[in-house]
Parts: sequence; structure tokens; C-alpha cells
Amino acid sequence: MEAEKKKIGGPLTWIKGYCKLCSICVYICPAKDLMIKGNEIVSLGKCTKCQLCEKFCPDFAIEVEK
Amino acid sequence: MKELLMGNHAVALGALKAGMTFFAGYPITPASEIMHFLANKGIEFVHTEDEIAAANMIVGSSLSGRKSMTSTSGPGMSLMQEAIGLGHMMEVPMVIVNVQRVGPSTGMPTLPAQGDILQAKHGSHGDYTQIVFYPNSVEECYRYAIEAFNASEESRSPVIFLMDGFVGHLMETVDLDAIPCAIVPRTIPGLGGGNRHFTGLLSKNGIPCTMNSDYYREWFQKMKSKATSVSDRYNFFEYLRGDDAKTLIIAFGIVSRVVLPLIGKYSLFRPIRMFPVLEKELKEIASGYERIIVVEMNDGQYKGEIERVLKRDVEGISLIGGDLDPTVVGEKIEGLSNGKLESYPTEAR
Amino acid sequence: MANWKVTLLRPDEEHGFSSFQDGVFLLFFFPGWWFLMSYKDYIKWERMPSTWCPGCGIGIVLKYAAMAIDELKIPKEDVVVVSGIGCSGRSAGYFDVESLHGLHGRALAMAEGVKRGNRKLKVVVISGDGDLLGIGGNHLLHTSRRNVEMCVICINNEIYGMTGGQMSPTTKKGTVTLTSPEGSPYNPVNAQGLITSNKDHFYARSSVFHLNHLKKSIQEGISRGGFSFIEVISYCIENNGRRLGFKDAPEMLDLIRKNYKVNPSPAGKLGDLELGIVKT
Repeated sequence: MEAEKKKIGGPLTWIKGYCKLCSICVYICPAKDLMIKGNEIVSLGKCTKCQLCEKFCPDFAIEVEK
Repeated sequence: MKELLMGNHAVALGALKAGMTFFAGYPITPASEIMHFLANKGIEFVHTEDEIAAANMIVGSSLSGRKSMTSTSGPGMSLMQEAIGLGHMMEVPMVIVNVQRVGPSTGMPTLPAQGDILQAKHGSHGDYTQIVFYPNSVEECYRYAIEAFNASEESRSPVIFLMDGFVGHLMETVDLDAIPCAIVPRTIPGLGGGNRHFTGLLSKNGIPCTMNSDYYREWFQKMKSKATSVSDRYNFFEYLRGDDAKTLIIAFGIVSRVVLPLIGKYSLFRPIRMFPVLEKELKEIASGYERIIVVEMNDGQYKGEIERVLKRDVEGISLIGGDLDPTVVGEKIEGLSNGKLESYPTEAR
Repeated sequence: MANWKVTLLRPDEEHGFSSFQDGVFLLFFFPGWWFLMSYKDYIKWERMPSTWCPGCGIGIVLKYAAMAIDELKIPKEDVVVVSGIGCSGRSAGYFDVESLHGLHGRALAMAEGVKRGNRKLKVVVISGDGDLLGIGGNHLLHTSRRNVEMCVICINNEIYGMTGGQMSPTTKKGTVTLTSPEGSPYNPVNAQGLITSNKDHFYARSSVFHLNHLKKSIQEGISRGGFSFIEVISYCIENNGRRLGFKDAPEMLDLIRKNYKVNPSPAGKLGDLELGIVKT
């Protein structure tokens, strides 16, 4: 299934079709960049490309450009 | 070359001839000789921790590309049932030899019985169509072991090879080279190279599909017609016609040999492919007889199947307890046929 | 294999590598094609999103198992993933390799059959604590004793999650579950003790928080050449955590972060809250 992808600012791509809004990325982000707004993940533009969200996401739902 | 062979050894030899290269099993009387025999034959051999592991192991090895077999008796067979269901769901060719003994439970380990007939048909939960063979001599053990592998390859399903303790431990002189056999090669590619997903869940093209009743019905019909059409090519039976006999004896396994002296006065129908029941042949043959007597070493398990198929009254003699006395069997059949004895229930022997 | 194909192509250089067929040959047989692969090639994307609850740790193990296999450069056709029943049992179906999803507790027996059937295959078993240590405990004892080459990843969430949250063999003493409303009366099973009781053993404990350690453990386990058992400390939020008062998955993940510490060189045995590798 081709999942719907969405650029959410900076290097971040959020794959809406895979995301279950478990908020692990929000918790793990050391820069406090991500947050859940309604049913969406949004970036506050503080991403440092550390890739922790991509590593911890259990559903392959967030990608960081290297 | 003629040689003196035991039934259990003949099964093992037949399996080797059919190309079996993986055996997993757990020792159990009266089937252990199959294990002993195969332990040093250069095949992959595992003495597992229990029958459950044995049955699951041959599912795995069969999928990885080897013809596989396990052997057991009643208690082990009960443990293997779940894996047999798995074999049907995953469409895995494998052969399970069940050398029957008297049950239930541990029962009488060293005495033979035919009490696992219905378990062989419907032992695992859920609906499936099981192919079952039941030989009655050492020669047939060899021959039908090969056929069991062929049928399992063609139908891509587990095949149960029933024997009883008598047939398993029977020693006879046989000439194995003289037995004609055709061997069906592997029908599924072994694991590696693809991205197939084998699962015990109902699945469509490898994707679990557990809430689709329509697909289940479609899948079940496909499985059933596959098993039935394959088993039609393996419709083995023996029919010995007695001159102007009015009574047909139906017996299988060792009992069919015990009743042999009576044939002439009676006719004998011996199914070798026990399940699916040989409906067409049975109907055709039974139509010429007034009475039908099923003689078996259980409390009427196959009699029920015959009644279901023929839709008429069938008498039965149950020889339970594991000791077979030909004279007593003869007396019983005589007694039944001249009205001195009643059909079910009968006392032991 | 790789070099052989390339040299076969070399003499025919006026033909060039421009044709499509040669491109395919190059892609598959030139050793460098590994650089083009990532762990994503080991995942069946058409089956995503996965069946697990939001925040479940199994997805993390799935990703890191795929990463470990990818970084070991094991070709896809040599990998077979076997799993049992339960939440973790569903993970086999998400791998884009040959996968088996067997009976409850019998994953190890089936995996041993696969391995003995074809020694070339690398067998990875991913299953849960209830499957491997509970119903399949006997098979674990004996498969590890026979030292069959396979890598067993046991995702330990201390609960039977798929059936709604019943006590599992690894549930800590005193934990309230559906089948232990007064708190679990028993001590959890000691997987480390079971595995290390074998003379020849490989036991690793890792967690879904300590990702680099998890990947390293899986890689060591796969390349060991014998039976390796990796217990991955995970959690279950929906069917256990909420009953215990956790709000969401990150809270449980945080607990693992606080509780468990990696011990890079354990002296023969790992402490209760230590992560590390114990091997002979």
C-alpha cells in the first residue's frame, strides 16, 4: 500500500498512513521539535536531524533527510 | 531378493524409497522400530523432545524442501493433531505413521487396536479432508508408504498412514525389488528465494484474511476438491468375491487377514485408502449383498462411516481388547449371520 | 558467486553494460549492490501499517531485526523468519523474505525443521515470552541443548497481550493482570538461567529503548553459528500498561530507560536490571 507522505517542515517527512499517533517521537525528540496537533504530527522547526524519532518510531511513520 | 522384514521396517524402507530425507520422531511402542531403523540411514534424523516437536519439525523441514515423515502411536498421535491441522492450512506435504495400540490414554501399549480410525479422519479441530492409508501386510507397508508420500506430494497435505501393532510387528518374507513403484517428485519449491508467507491463519496470497467468510468458503471448497480429486487416483482396495456369498465382510488391517479363512462363504471388501471413504466402489460392491458386516478392532468407528455412505443397516463385530483369536472371530461371524448373536453391542473379543 | 558473474561479463565488453539484462546482472551480482540496499528492502511495505497497537515495541524490534540482517549482508533468499502465536508472532509476516507463522509455542520446533532441512538458510525466530517461555518452554530447553543454529528473539512484554492481558511466565511477582487480580503470586521464569545452564550458550538481554545494543545483540546472535537467545525487554501499553497506571507508550519506554543499564562486559551473569551479552 502506498502510504500518504507529508513534509512537515525541515528535513522531516511524516507518513500519515502508517502513523498511529503513539507519541513516541514527541517523547524521544531531544530538541522538543515535534508535537501532536489534533490528528497530525507537526514540527516546530527546531529539528537537529538527530534521527532519534525515525529510529524509535515503531511504525516506520517518520523519516528524516540525512 | 527375498528377505524377512518387519512391518515397521518396511514402512521405513518405503519412505526411503519415496525419497524421504528427514525424519523426526519420539520413541513409542509399537512404533519405535521405525525410528531405530532410520537412525543410521544417512538421512537427517532427529530424536525430538516430544511428538509435538516432531510433528512441527517435519512441517518446517518439508517446507524447506525435504520429504519428511514422523511415526508414532496413539498417545503421540493425539499430541500431533494440532500440527496436522497446520499442515492442512499451510498445504505442507508430510506423512505421519500411526501404529495403533489399545487406548484411550496410555491404554495397553503392547497390544494392537484399530481405535484411531475416526481420529485419523477428524483428529485436528476444524474441517479438512484427510487422506488415510491402511495396509495389512509387510509388502503393503512398503508399497503404500510410497503411495502415501506420492499422495501427500500431489495433494500438498499431510497423509496419515495407519497401521496396527500386529501389522507393525509382523515379520514376513517379501521381495521389495519386485514391487512396482512410481515416485512423485517434490511439488513445492523449498524455502529460500521468495517472499512467501506460510501461516496457520486463513490467508489469501500470504496475507492473513481472518474476517472474510466468503473467502473461507471458497478456500475450503478448493482444498476439499483438491484432496478428493487427488485421492481418486489412489483408490486402493481389495475385493475378494466368495461364490454366491450373500454377506459382505468389511475389514481392514490385520483383521482382514484374520477373516481370510472365511472368505468363500463370505466376500471381503478391504479398503486400503480408508479416508476419504471409497464411496463409489463401496456402493457398487455393496449393492449385490444382503448383509454387510464390518469387523474391526474398535467399537464401530468405521461401521458408522459405512452406514453413512450406504444409507442402510450395517452390522458390526467389535474386537476390542487387543487379542485376536481367529476361531472366535469366525464363531462371531457365524453367530451373527445365523442370528444367534446380535450386532452391537457385543462383549469383548 | 558474485565475482564469477562479473568476470563472465567482462570479455564481452564491446557489448557494454548498457543493456537492461546486464544492468540486472550487475545489480544482483556485483558485490557493491549491497550499498544500494537498506533494511527497508526486508520489510513488506504493502502490509503496513502493522497490526500492533499504537506505540507497541514490537515494531521497533521488527525494524532493528531487519537492520541487523541487512548490515550482516545476508542475502534475502537465505533468510527465513519463523514466529509463533501472539502479538510478536505476527512479525514474521512483515518480513519480505520467506516466513513461517506456526503454532503456539512451536516456533522453535518448526525453525529447527527448517534449519535442518536446509543448512544454508539463516533462521531467525521472533516470538513472545508467552510463546517461547510458556507454552514452548520445553522446546526452548531442547532446541538450545541441541545447539541448532538459529537466532531467537524473544520479545518480552511480561504479559499475554493478544488475548487481553493475562499473566505470562515473565510477569513480575505482584503485578496485577486479568488472571492475577491480587497480583501475580509467582516469580517470573529465569530465561537467562535456562539458556546459560547449557554448557555452550549465547544469551543476550536488550531492550526496545537501547537500540544500538539491540542491533548489536541480534547481529552477534545471528553470526554466532549456534543457538542464540536474545531477550528483548519490551512493554505492552494497551493490555497491561493502562491497568498498571501508565498513560501512554512513552511512559513505559521511559521506565525501561530508567531501570535498565547496559553492562558491556558482564561477568558470567547479568543482574536483574542489566542488559548485556552472556556467551561461551
